[in-house]
Amino acid sequence: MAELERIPVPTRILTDKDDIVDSIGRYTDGKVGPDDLVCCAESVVAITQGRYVHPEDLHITKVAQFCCRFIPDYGSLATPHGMQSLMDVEGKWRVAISLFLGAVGKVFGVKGLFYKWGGKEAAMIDDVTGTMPPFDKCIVYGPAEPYEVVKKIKERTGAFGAMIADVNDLKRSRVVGVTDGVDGQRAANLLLDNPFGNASQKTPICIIKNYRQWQSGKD
Amino acid sequence: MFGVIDLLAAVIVVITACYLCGKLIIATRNKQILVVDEHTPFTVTERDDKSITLRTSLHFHNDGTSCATLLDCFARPQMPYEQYDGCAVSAKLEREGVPREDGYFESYIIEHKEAVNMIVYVTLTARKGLTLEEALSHMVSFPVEVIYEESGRTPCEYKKVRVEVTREDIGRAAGIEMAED
Repeated sequence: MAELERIPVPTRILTDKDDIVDSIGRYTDGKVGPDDLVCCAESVVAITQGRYVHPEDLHITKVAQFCCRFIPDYGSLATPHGMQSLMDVEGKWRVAISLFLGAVGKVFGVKGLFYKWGGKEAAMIDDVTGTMPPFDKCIVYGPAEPYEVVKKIKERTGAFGAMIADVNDLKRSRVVGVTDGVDGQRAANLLLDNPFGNASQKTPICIIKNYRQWQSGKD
Repeated sequence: MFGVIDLLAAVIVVITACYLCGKLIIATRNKQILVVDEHTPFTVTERDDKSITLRTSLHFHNDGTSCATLLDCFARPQMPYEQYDGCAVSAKLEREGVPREDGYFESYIIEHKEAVNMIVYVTLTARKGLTLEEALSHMVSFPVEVIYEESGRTPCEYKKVRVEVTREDIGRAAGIEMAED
């Protein structure tokens, strides 16, 4: 059986002036085969879609300042601007009420209610310092229509599949969008050691060679 | 009258209320407290015929109970030619151990009870055909402002500290006698 191999693909810094599908097509040209899986980091997809905001551009409400204090220190929503960015897209009171219900849920041993009811962006937002420069000074949302984006990446590259994943250096890997036929969580587990790199590393694309055979061998 | 279920419900409500009150008290007390200590004495890092670069270190420590984020940090000398035009002054700041040629400051989290050193480089370049020694000997004391954007549990805000570069610092670092003006 052909061997599974991961190939991180370096790029220049991609910005909102770039189209993610075109960029992946260009940088992976000649490197992707019909058995491969093309993976892309979620923050880069979001940045190319212009889904980021500078904290100075937000109008910080008292509710956001209050609510952010209930998020553990290292969370992306633990700052007033992180919380405000969530409230701006999901609704101030929806977020505040979800936070309250999440706290009540914890008393009864039910965790994760805030992230369930606070809107999809509650788990997707990256606060400042969460992305490579020059976006380290921005709050980055999750990508829009990730399942549409991966379809286009697959068509453009001719790969077996495409996936957008949220991977970090804490050995966490989450599927944000994946094409049909790919076992998302199993593929995401292949990225646990974060081949994209964080911070100043510029490898937002990773090709998993011979993924199709590997997945069929596991079924 | 009150039954077992009522009693149980009351206990649950009290426990929930206590838990939420506890969270509220802890949450309202959590805050970053970023403190900047006095800078270290200036030392010379580079010198040529026309310019000299001095270096000092500033100790930023977070005495609060939650993380502090430095979104930006830069140094700005306040040395107008109206005051003295024999030297051009520029300044650069970088996080200790993370040198960058581009002068970019990458946002950085200082965890509570932790610290980071910022290195400030001040370059003085002789102007108007003066030698470095001539230019420096008439140099006046001036401040370098270290401006930083801080956040944490409070909204982003710019703050600044002043680092005074005195005539005596310059004379001692450059090894020259300062002129009486």
